[in-house]
Parts: sequence; structure tokens; C-alpha cells
Amino acid sequence: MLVSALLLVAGATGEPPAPVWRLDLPVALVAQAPASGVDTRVVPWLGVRVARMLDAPNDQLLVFGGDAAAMLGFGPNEGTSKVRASRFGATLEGRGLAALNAFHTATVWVRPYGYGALQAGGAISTLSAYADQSLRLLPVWGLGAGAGLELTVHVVALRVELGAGVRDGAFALDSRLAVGAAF
Amino acid sequence: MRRHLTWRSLATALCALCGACAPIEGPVTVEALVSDPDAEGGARLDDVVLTTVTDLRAGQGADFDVVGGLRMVSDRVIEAAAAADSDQDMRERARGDDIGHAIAARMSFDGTRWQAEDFQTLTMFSAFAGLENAWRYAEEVGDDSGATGDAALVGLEATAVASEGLPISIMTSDNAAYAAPLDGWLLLRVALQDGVPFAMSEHILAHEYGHRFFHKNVYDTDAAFAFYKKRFGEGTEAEARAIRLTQGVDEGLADLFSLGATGDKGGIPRTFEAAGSVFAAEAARRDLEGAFADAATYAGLREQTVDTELSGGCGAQQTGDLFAQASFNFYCLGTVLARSLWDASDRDVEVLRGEVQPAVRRALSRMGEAMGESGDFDLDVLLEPIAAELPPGARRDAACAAFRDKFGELVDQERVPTCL
Repeated sequence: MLVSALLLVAGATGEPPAPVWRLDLPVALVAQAPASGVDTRVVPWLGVRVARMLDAPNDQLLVFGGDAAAMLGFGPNEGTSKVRASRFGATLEGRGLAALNAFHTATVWVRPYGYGALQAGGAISTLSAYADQSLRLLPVWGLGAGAGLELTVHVVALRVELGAGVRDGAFALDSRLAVGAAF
Repeated sequence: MRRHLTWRSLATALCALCGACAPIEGPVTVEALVSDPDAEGGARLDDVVLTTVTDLRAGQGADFDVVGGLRMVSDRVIEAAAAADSDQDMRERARGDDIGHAIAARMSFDGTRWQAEDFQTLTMFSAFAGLENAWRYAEEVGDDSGATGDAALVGLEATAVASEGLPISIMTSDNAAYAAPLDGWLLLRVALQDGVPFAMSEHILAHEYGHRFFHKNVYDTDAAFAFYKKRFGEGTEAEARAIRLTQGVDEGLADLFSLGATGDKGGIPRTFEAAGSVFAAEAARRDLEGAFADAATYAGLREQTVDTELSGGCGAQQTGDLFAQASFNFYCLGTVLARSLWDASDRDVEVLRGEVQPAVRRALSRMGEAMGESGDFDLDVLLEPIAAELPPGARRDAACAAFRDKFGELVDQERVPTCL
């Protein structure tokens, strides 16, 4: 009721529509549990993401869109300085978004949303033992779903997300924080 | 028919893609960390053939399974040992339902060998190779105990916690250990150490296998097991001293076992030296041909007459009988015993493998029987059966000469009658 009332007020005052483009920099912590069936590993991913929501009037409760991101992941980097394993990955990610027009004013928009994601890319895996080094290229893939909350104030957009899915065949939890611009 | 073929083709393609439809059995070639004294740091990556694997991806084998999430719960172990009347009984009680879970190795095949894709899988491959090698060595020296007869567990990144109710970790990193109550090896993760991770070092793994070899041969009878159990209770000072001596013997024989299994006399000291920090000091005391091994004797250690620059880490906190002190670092006694048996082998790996180690193995069960009967232990309880198990002649003479050098007091007191 409160949401509907707010939407009605916003629509009646003729406020500008919500921005449809987002450009942000997500930082993700992906916990793969358990990697190798041994223990949970947390891998940080950094990236750049662009999102486009479909044009919709302010009083439309559900808004759909999508985003695409290029992500770089580091680690886990384990072992001693002489015998170690490290990994560097890069993925492209595409997601479908469904957002709820929960609250907005002329300059502030709050939207909870859900997403479904697909990732594909590659990783360089390195095993080193003193002078010996073994390096290979590996495919990286994933799929998942989650929920997030987006807060946009003027042109500044903040998104927090929590998701779950499968990464490289192992169950993974994915938490993200992203800051960017909306226009 | 056409439909059938299509589904079968799809199933085949899926099998090929996932590679998980059939277990990968030995013999199978993997890339593992292997010891090489001539390589930089004494280690390199190389192909190794694992022969006893039954499911490589799950870390399972005919002799042992590598599992994740294995925990040793200290208070459960103590309760299990107190209640058990045999080694097997202790194992069942101490393990409970806590036997870890199957791993899911991350690996790929490059056409000739399986390669690890992460650190845990490289550790698993290397540990599998090291323990398999040690197992074969035990068989070669004639082991017929549970050391080669019973299947074991290997806990990858295992932990030891104080209790179920208070699961505070008491041992989490930079170590590999044989936990006799669980009858399993705990391979701990890397934290502070450098060099070759202990869980991947074939020297350390063979040393840890040596503990199982010792335990299964010595504490095989109910009476011997009753002696073993004393370490978990509150015994007399004399009992505590005797247990410390058996622990020293256990460590020394494990070093000797490692030397025989790997054929590399510098392997253990080199691994500790490369590990740096607190481990480097151990390197000098574990070198069977080093200054500490040259200088230290049974009587010298006990009476604290060994040069303190060499024996500073042996744990003396007061004057008098070092073996009676709870702070005694029993590894020091282990080096004395291992050195004497290395000398008894004329410092020749083939002699060690072919003559001395088999005699030691046969002597271990006699040591267990004697301890079980008397409830006490001193080094003569082991030295005498070793000397007796060696054939009369040059080898026995060499052993007796080595015992006189390091354990002269015991020989002089006629406690090693074979050497009279």
C-alpha cells in the first residue's frame, strides 16, 4: 500500500523517469564451497559493468532490463614463496534483471531487484616449484541467481547483491558491492 | 534406432565432457612435486605414476583415501584411548563419524598426465605419491603388520581441535603428522613455513609413514597397547620418562625410515632448512651426519654434557636427568638412535634397506612385547633385539660398534647381551 501510494504521488507530480543506464564498478567476493572438496575459498573479482533498464513509467511496478560485465578474478594464491599455486581469471557476465519500483522521488530511486546470471571466460592457472613452472589455460563458467538493492541519488548509483550458483562445477556464494553512475 | 543412437551419442559426449563417469584408476600418471637433491631447492615438478589409485578425482586408493574436512578432536581421542582395549578399538572410538568427506580434485589431462589446477590437488597428488612410495618401502622391508595391511586415511588440510564443545584449533598449519588414534595422516595447510610444504615433501611424508610403521609393529598386542595408552593418562614420573624415550625412538626410527624410503640422507634437514624461521634450527639436529649427531650420545644427552651450542634446543630446564624433564625434546634422542643405525648400515642406503631396516622391523614387535610385560622402557629394550635380528658377522659387529659409540653405557652394563 505504501509503495503504491508513493508511486501514485510521484506519478501525479510529473517527476522525471528513472535513469535507464548504469555504469558501475562491482567488487565481488565469491566463496566457492568447498573448492576441491576440501575447504571454502574466497576469490575477489573486480570489474566494470553496464546496465540498461527498459523505459517504463514511474508508476509501473516491475521494470525489466539487463547488464553485462567484464570481471577479473585473482587467486586463490596459496602455498609458500617457493612452491605455490596461483590463478588469474577473466570472465564476461550477462544478467537478466527484474526490478521493483519500490520508492522514488525526483532525485532518489530505490529498487530491489532479482537477477539470473551466466558467466563464461578463462583463467591462467600457475603451479610453481622453485625453477619449475607449470602453466595452463582453463575455461571458467558459472551460472547463478540472486537479489540486490539499488540506490540511486542523482547520478550516483550504489548496488549491493547477494547470489548463489555454480562456478566451475562447485557451489558458490557471490556477494557484490558496486558504485557507479546512472544516467 | 536413429533415436537410440542419438541419445547414446549425447550420453557419450556428456561423459567425455564431464570426465566423471568412470573412476580414474591406477596406474595413472600425474604431475606432482618430487624431491631432487640436484634441483634448485631440492624439489621440482615431475611426472609420477600412482599405482594404487582407485578413483583419482575423489582421492581414493586401495591403501588409503585422501579426504577433506578430517578433524582430530583432542578430548575424544583421550576418551577413546582410555576406554579402548586395543589399537583397532581406539581407532573406531576416536574417529567416530568424523572421517572427513570425499574430495573433488580439480585437474585436467594434457594427453600424457593429469595436472592439478589448484594447490589442494597438487598437494593430494604429491602426498599420494610420497605415501605410496613409503608404503612400498615398508612392504619391501618385510612389514606384515597393520602398517601395510590396514587401509588408512589422509586428511587434506586437516585440523586438530580441543573438543567437540569448544572447537578451538590446536594445530592448523605447517605440519604433517600421523595421528595414531585416528590411524590417519593429517596434512595441514601452509601458513608460515617456506620451501617445500611439509604436506608435499616425500621426506616428511615418509617420516610420517614411519610413525605408522612403528605404531603398528610395536603396539600390536593388548599388553603393548596398554603401555601406549599411558600417555593419555596421569602416570608416574617413571612412566612419563619411559614414554618420552619411546617417543624419541619413534622419531628417530621415522627419520631412518624416511632415509631408507627416499634414499636421500639430506632430505629431512634440507626440508626443514628451506622451511625457515623456527624450523631451520631443527634442520641441524636432524642431520644424521651433522655436528649434533656427531657429538650427541645417550648418556651425554641424559647428563647434559653435550656442547650446549649443539644441544640448546633439546629442552633442558634444569640440571640432572634430561629424559626425566617434561620439556625434553625427544627428537634429540631420536637423532642419536637414527645415527647409530645409519652407522650400523655403514652409511649405505642399500645396506640400510636390505639388512638393517628389516632387522629393525622384526625387533619392533619384540620391543612391544617386552614393554607390555614390564610396563617400562629404556633403549636396551630395542637395541638388543635389533642386534639379535642381524645375522652374526660384519653387520652385527657394525651395529654393536655403533651402539657402543652412542649407547656405550647400556652395552657396558650388559643390557645388550648380543653385543658382549
